[in-house]
Amino acid sequence: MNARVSSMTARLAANDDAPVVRVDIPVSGMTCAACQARVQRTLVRQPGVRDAAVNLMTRTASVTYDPTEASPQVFVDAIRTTGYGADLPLDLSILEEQEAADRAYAEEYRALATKAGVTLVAGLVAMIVSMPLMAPAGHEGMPATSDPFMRWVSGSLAPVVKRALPWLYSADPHALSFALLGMTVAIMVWSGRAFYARAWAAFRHHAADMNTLIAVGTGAAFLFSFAATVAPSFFVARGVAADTYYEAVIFIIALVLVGNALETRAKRQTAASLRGLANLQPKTARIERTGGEVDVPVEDVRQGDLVSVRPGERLPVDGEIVAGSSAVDESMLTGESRPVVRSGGDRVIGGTINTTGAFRYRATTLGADSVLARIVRLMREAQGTRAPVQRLADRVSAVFVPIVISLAIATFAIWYVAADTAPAVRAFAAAVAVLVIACPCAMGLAVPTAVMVATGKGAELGLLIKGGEALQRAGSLDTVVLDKTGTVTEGRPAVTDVVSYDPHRTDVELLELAAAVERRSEHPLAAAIVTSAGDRGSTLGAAESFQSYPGRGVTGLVGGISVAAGNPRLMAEWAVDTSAASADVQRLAAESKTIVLVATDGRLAGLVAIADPIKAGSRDAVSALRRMGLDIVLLTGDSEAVAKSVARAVGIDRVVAGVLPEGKVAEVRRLQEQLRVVAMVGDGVNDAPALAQADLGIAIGSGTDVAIEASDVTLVRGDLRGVAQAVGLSRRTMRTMKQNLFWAFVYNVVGIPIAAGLLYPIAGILLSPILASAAMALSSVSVLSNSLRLRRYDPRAV
Amino acid sequence: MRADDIVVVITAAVAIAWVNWYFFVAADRRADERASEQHDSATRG
Repeated sequence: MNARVSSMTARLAANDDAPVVRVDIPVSGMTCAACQARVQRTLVRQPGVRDAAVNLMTRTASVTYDPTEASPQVFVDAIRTTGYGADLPLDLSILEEQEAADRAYAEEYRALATKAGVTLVAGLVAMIVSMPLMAPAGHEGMPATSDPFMRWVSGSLAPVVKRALPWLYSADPHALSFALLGMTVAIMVWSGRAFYARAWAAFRHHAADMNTLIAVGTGAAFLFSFAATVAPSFFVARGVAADTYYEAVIFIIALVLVGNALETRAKRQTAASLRGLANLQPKTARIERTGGEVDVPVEDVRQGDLVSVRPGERLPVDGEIVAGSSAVDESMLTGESRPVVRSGGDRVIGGTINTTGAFRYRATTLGADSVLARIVRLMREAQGTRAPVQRLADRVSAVFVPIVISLAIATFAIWYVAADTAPAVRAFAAAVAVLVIACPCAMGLAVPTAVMVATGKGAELGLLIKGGEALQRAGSLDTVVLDKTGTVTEGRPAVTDVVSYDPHRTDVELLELAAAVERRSEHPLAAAIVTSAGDRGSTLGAAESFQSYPGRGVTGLVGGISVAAGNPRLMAEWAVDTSAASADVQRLAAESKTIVLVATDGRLAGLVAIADPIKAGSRDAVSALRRMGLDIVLLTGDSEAVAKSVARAVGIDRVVAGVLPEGKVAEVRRLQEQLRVVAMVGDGVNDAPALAQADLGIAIGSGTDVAIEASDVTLVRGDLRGVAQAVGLSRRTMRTMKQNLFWAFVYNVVGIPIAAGLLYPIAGILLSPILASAAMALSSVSVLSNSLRLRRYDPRAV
Repeated sequence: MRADDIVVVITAAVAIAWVNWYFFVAADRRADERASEQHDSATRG
C-alpha cells in the first residue's frame, strides 16, 4: 500500500504526465536509523528523484524517479559516496531476491564475526602488553585509576601477568608502545575502516551518525596515544602522564563489531518467517507434455500446463484441480492446522503440501503473480514500513549526535578545570567515554525489529499485517465493526431443512426434484439446493421445459412430473394449496431462513429452507474480542430480523441492519466522530469503502483475493478468530516497542552522565571508554532480544 | 583558574559552537540550496 501511495505522490509531485519508474536498490552497511535517514536524504537530493524510501530491515532503497533525468547507476554511485555499499538490482523473482538477501545477511554476519573475533583477541593482547605501561597506584604522583574496570584489571590481573610473562615487564616500554601503535593501526585499517569511511562521508554532507561517534571517540584516543608514544617528554614536562589508550581503541572497535554482528544475526532471525515462506516453493514441477510427464524447472511452467502431484509432494505452482482429489496441508500459508480437502474445480496454492491423494491440476498464476510471491512481497514491504512511534526515535536520532559531541567537549573542559591531578588524561578519558556510550543504535532498532518480528509471527498465524502503522492502530482499537455476510456467516447460502409432506417421497427425493428444476437457474438459492442435493448423492439431470419466474421461482418437467419450486406467490399463481406448510413456514421464518416451497403436479410436496450458516469460529471470536474490552457492532445490508438472529447466535448486542455500502461508511464515520478507534472487518468486496474509512481495515480473504492489497490486515484463513489474534499480537508489539524505546532512552539518559563522570564526586566511579563500548553493545543486544520475545506470542492466550 | 584552564574553556566553547553551526545551521542552509537548485533545474527542464 505504501508503495502505491508513494508512486501516487510521485506522480502528483511531477505535476505533469512525465512517467515515473520505481527501482529497488540493495544497500549494504546500514546499521541504524541514522544510516537509513542519511541514505534516504542522499537519494532524495538526486536530480530527477520524486521519492525515495530506504528500508533498513530488507536493506533496499526504493527510488521513484523520472527515467529521462536519472538512472539506477546514478543512485548506486550516490549511495556509495555516502560510505555504504550499493549494487544495481538483479533481475530476480521475489523469492530468489529473498534468498539472495538472506545469503547477503549470512555473508555479512560471517565477515563481521571474523573481524570482531580477531579484534577482540587483539584487544586482549593489547591489554596484556600495555599492563607494564600502566602507572601503578600512587606512582610518580599519579592517582590510582577511578575506573572500576581498570582498577580490577590492574589489581587482579597485573600480578598474574607479571608472574606468567616476566619478560614483558623487563622489556623496553618504548618498544612496547610502538608495538601497540602498529597493532592498533592495523586493526583500525582492517576492521575499523568502514566506520571511518562512513563517518567522513557523513561529515562531508553535514551529517552525523553512530559512525561519527565511534570515529571521533577512537580517533581522539588514538591521536592522544600516538602523541604520547612519539613524544612522551612533551607530556611529562607538563606534569601529565604519557598514558596510551591503544587497548581502548581496539576494544571499542571490537565491541562495536560484536554488537553489529549480533544485530545482523538477529535481523536474519527476524527475517526467518520470510525465509521459510521463500523456501516453500519446490524447484521443479511434473507437468504433462506430449509423450507423457516430464520434470521441468518451476520457471518453465506455463499458464494452462497440467501439473501432477503425488502424495507427500509440495505443490509447485497455483492452479485449479482438474482430476483427482486430496487433503492439502495449507498450514504454512493460512495457519489452519488441519489439511483441507480439495477436489475438482477447487483452487490450490503453490507451496502447500499434498498429503494423501494424487491429483492433476491446471497451472493458473505463476511467478511474481503467485500467491506465495505476493505474500512474500507484501511482507517485505510491510516489515520495513515505519510505525508512527518511529518518528519519535528518528527526531531524537537526528539531533542526538551533534549534541553528544557538544557534551563530550563540555565534559573535557569541565574535567580539565576541575581535576586536581592529571587533568588532561582524566578529561580525555571521560570525553571519549561519553562519545562511545552515546551511540544511538538501540534507539534505531527499537521499533523496526519489533515490527519485523510481529509481522513475521502474524504471517505464521495466517494474519498478513501491513507494517508498523497497521500494527500500531490495531493495538489501540476500541471498537470492532463486523460485516455479517461472509464475515460472521459463511456468505454462501446452504440448505438447512428439508420437509416432505408427501408420505411416498423421502426428504432426499424431494430435494432431488427441487434440484433438478433449480439446476438451470442462476439464483444463489438455486445453487444452494443443487449443491445440497449433490452432497447427498443426487444423480438426477436437469429438468425439461424449464421456466424461470424472476422474483418468484422456477418450473419444469422432471421424469414426466411437473415441478414448481418457489415462494408463496408462485404457488398462488399455480393454485397450489400451501396451508399444510403454514406452521413450518412460520417457524422457519422466525429463524430468519428463506423458504422454497416445492409442488409436484399441482399439489404441495414439501419445502426446503435455506440460510447462511454462521462460521464455526464466530462465537468464540466475538467472546474473545469482548474479553479484550472491545465494543462490537454487527453491520449488514440484510433485514433487521436476520441480523438480530445472527447477532443473538454469536453474542453481539449492537446491530445496525439494512445499510447500503455508503451507509456502512457513514456508520464507521459516526463511530469515529465519537472518538472511537474503529476496525472494520469485511470480505473486502462490497465493504471496500468502509474498510478504507475505518482506522483499521481487516479483510477476510482466502489469501488469493485482491482484497489483500486493499486492507491493513488480511486474515488468510478467513476465520474471525484471527481478528482477536491480530489485536492481541498488536497490543503485545506496541508494548514491546514502548519497552524498547524506554530502555534505549533510559540507557542514554543514564549512561551519558555516568560516562561524563557525574558519579565521580559522589561515589568515585568513572567509566573507562572500554566499559562504555561494552555497555553500548549490550543495549543494542537487549533491545533486539526483547523484540525477539514476540516470536513466542501464543494466540491461544487471547 | 589557571591560564591553560581559560584557554581550554574558550576553545571548548568555540568547538561546541562550531559543531552546532556545522551540523544544524550549515546543514539546513545546504539542504535549502540543494532544494532550490533542484527546483531550478526542474522548472528549467
